[in-house]
Amino acid sequence: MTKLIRVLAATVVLPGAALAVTTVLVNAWWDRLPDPIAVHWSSEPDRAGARGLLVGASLILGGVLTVAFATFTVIALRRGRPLPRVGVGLGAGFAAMPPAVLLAVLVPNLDAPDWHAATGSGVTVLVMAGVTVLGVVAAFTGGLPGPVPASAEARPSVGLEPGQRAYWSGRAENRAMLWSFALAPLAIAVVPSGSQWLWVAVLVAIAELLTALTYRVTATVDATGVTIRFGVLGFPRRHIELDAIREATARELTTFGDGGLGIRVNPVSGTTAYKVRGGPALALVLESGRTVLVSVADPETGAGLVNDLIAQRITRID
Amino acid sequence: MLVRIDPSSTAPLFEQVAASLRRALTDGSPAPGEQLPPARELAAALEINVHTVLRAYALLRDEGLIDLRRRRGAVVLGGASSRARLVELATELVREAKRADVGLEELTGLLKERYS
Repeated sequence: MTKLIRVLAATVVLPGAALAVTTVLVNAWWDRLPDPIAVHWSSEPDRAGARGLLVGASLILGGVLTVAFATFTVIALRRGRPLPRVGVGLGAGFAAMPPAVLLAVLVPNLDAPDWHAATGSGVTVLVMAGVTVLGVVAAFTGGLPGPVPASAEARPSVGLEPGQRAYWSGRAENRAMLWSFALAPLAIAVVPSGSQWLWVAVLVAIAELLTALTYRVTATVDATGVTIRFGVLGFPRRHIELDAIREATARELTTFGDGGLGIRVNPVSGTTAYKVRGGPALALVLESGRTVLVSVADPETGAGLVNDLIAQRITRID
Repeated sequence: MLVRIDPSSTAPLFEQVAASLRRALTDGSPAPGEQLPPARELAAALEINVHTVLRAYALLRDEGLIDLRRRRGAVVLGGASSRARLVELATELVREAKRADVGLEELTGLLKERYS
């Protein structure tokens, strides 16, 4: 089970299950509950609240807390920070608390003619015990104590000796993409669309411009870092300083993985992909924990040079 | 395409650049029709003079591997891969001949004999 799946199971699945079970029970019990319902007890019920408001607020709060906690932990994981078991357990329990409290309030109100007759609040102990169990399970499922270790894959190298200088350039292009857009005007001419020709011409021109800008990607590596350029004009362009790179590897990508072709940013996995095709790609793991993928030919050499330049920079005395 | 130089080596820098590019062409990357990196960019990346890179490009052009055009830069010619391999082998052959004290005439004779 990958770290991401473990973290998501602890922060989304467990509190989400509590929320789902509560929602189902509320739906089933709706007609058996008085309105207003008792929400506080001393020796007997002493305060009441609107049924709809309490249910709605509790379920929404549970959902918001679950999403917020999951987002926080995934970002922490992506940045390589440790996820202490205690923190994960408390967070998951806290996210599950609103639906749990709702259950603890609703059960005594079941089948009561009005809120004054609501009794048997001992169920609170059971519900809180359930939240505790959920927190403990979440802690052992999603807790990742200690920093996330760097990938164990062998780091590629080109054997750059101290004092040597090097430059690497790799690129990839997708001619099928270019041709498919180049043939767009022909397709529009043959198939009557009912649109005005002027608008069609403008749309085709924009589509072809975007294709010309993105059908090719180039990556270059030198002592300053990695530069990624798109299209015939070399724009969009991104330069990643060598200091910002932790390590580089070569990876095999699928055409429609990582969000498809083009520039794809996945905030959950922290991956930014510059893709014009599937197949071999240069993978850069940044110090921030993010990953940058560039679909280029011969990425092993590029990755090797990046790793050697990083090692050279560490040992170099300027 | 990996270009590597060693400033402490006795081999001239332009020959080192040309040798790296020749090796890349032998491997088929860049392919015919593709461009070599702009001389200015390569010179900046390797921290050498742009004329050193241009001299390396001129050497590759004389070997029939690339074409230098004013607007398109250095473009790889068709058949550059096999030709670059041939140049590499010829360089190696001459080096071996010198090491074995074989003169130019004797080496040429040897080649003619094998070629026919």
